[in-house]
Amino acid sequence: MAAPDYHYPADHRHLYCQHSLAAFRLADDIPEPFLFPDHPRVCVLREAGGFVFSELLACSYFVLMVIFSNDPVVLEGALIRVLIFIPVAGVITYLSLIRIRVEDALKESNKRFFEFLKEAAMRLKTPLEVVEENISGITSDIERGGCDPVDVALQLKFQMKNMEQIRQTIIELNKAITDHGDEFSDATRKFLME
Amino acid sequence: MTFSLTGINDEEIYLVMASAAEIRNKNIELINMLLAMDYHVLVIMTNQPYDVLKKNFEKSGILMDKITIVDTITKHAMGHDHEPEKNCRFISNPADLTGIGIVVSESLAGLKDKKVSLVFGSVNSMLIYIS
Repeated sequence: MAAPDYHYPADHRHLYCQHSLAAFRLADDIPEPFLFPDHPRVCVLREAGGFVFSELLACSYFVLMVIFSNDPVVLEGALIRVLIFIPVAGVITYLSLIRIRVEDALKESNKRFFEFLKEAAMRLKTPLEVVEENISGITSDIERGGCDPVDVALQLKFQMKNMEQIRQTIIELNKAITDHGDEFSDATRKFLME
Repeated sequence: MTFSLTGINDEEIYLVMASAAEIRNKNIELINMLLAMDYHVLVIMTNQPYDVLKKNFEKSGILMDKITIVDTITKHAMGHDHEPEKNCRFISNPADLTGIGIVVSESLAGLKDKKVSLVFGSVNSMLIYIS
């Protein structure tokens, strides 16, 4: 934002800069949300509380204008600014609340996603390694010879059961994700759950 | 790599780490050591069926007299009951923790006057059945 022009005595901004809180003179050093009255972003600062703060600030602005200026034109301009500022502050507060809600939803979604990854790593990677090594053991036994085909068949059947269980685990994990998200189409949901 | 069981205490739990490729041999080695220390070994198997395990034990010269096996696989893989065995109890599947608990309690009750060691064949393979 451009620095206020201090060289126009008739300009209300001159009044504002000279007589309102000294801090406002240091506009360049103040975080942007505090800039007033041109920047209703102050509302973003404290969600709903920010709205109340903005309104108090707007009223303070008008009171200071009343104290330091008797010019009805300046006062009328200040009043119009305050009246415009109030709905603008309301809209910005509303939008900031929506943004916060979206951010929270995104954080929750990310949290769930990372939990899914951790759980998937633990419940899929290790079991798959077990199955892989079991099958490797069975093939080694066959290669060495002297295996009973019935035993081999039984061991392979058990590995099939293990794989079936791992598939069920994947479905369970998918269910945990799809139950909490609206972003999945019915077709995707069906695919993930089958 | 071999390991020693000297210094193990009663009523304690020990975790023996082994790669998946070595787990069968490690289990045999461990059971052999426990038998040598005069323990009766109660084995809960979640990665090898009884018939295969028994043959592996016999090949390694392990006598089945002082071993009781809780087999969670055979029934699950075959889809029907195994013929009753003297030193083996069959559970419907590895996820049946209640069934395993009951069988272990009953087996321990039957081995009251003996020094018993409980061996879980594979903790990792139990992970497949966690829900």
